Amino acid sequence: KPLFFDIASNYINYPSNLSQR
Amino acid sequence: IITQLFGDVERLVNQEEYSKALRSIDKILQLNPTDNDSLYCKVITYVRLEKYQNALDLINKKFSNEDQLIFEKAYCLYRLNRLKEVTELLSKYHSKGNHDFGTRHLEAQVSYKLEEYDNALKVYYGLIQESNKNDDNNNILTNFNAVKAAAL
Ligand SMILES: [K+]
Repeated sequence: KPLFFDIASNYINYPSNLSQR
Repeated sequence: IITQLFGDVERLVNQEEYSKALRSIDKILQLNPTDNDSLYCKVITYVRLEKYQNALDLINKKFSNEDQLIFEKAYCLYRLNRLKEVTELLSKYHSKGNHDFGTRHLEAQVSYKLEEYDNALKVYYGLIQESNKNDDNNNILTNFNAVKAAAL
């Protein structure tokens, strides 16, 4: 079976600069 | 105190201490139950902890406009193996003129897993046209070739 890359949860990211809230 | 708690959340997620981060997020939500940043962080933290049903429940309860957190929602459904629902959700979203890279990538992958190769090829082809700007270029090409091989 050919190689297939599984989409990863790295498409989902925390907001930046949380500590500035 | 909320600023301090957000600082804790940022530090803990950088350390990949997601269970501890969840406790700090819940402390913020006790003080301000409608804080959107905290609710969103909670969704992401459930995903990091692979608690996909919890993430999905939270999205449906607190981000109830249908296109809110669309990728996150579709990703959780995918991880819960509810593949038909993913393609229905995403094809509806894309038919409204949205063309986010991530949601299309997920639609293509789920189409492949459902052996809906024509749709997978169509979506991957579109992604390849623009993926030289994108770090996922090689993965997209690899997957396109896998679908072509499977579709023969
Ligand atoms: K993953």
